[in-house]
Amino acid sequence: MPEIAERDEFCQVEVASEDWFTSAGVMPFWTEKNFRRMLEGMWERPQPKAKPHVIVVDRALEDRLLESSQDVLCPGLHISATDWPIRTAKIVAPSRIDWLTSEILELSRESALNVAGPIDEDTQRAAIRFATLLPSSVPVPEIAADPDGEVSFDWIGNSYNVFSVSVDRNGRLAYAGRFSEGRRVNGVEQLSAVCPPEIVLGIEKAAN
Amino acid sequence: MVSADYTAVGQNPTLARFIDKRHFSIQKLVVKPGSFLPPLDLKTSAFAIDGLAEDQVWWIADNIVAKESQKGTIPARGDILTIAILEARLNIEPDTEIHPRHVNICGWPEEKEQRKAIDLELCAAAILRLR
Repeated sequence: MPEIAERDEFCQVEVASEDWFTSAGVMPFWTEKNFRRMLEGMWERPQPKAKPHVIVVDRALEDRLLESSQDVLCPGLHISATDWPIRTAKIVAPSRIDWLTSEILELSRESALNVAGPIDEDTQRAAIRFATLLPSSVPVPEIAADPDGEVSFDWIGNSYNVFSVSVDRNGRLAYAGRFSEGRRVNGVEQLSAVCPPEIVLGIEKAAN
Repeated sequence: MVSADYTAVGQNPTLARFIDKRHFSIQKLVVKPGSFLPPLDLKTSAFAIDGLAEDQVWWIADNIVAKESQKGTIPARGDILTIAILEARLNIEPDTEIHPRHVNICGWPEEKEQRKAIDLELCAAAILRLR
């Protein structure tokens, strides 16, 4: 607790000064001007009331980023948790969950044109929840809409090693895998508090 | 015009399944999972393309598929031999109301996970063709 409190204090005091931006070493990734404008906007702008699925995503983000050992990793940027103000990292760092959530929302918009099976809000919520359950150790999936209105998470490895999970509006996870050594799997799981081990195993097998 | 009897001995025409931007990978040059999955009526739409030139195949994409699906330009397709579909224990039924070369891939199981397993086999057997 003392460590986090100190960091919060550091963040609020130092973010307002001119020196912190250059010393943080993030300027090649974001221009100073845009970065400052974004931070100031987050501090000053009243936030709209969060929707339930946003809260789920936010909690997952918080859990991961509040771990003191959690570094911020994204293309071209690696910031150790020890030299990055936690609160700033929580807001600014683009994470895989942010990316997956935005992909699912974009997919829902696209699927509105699909008269046969658009993605409804329940399916969207279930898909976002499934995305938050994925262990950080597995590769980021590719996301697509099934013609029946479900959201598909796909992992495609070499030699068409592939594993795919479809999430429906009730949180049913239908999965199938096809691996290069000739092994095939398929089954059904239900969305719960953790990612089902069969699914984690399938993803790892497809990715290796 | 190909024969309507897709299961006849010696016949192995190619079917084209037109796919959207999220169902193929340019880097890996593969048709992605879900490309052959059917909608709720359990009929996957495809076209018999034997004997057609490339521009004639894409004419079908632009003038039949894009208009039916209202998805805009079709960027790619997966070409698959009918034998791969029959080996997956699916049926091919001509449905010429849309177009003389239009067929439906039918006989999908009720269970979603089994449909996904078959879809993966079909995707692996299909050849990606980019526009």
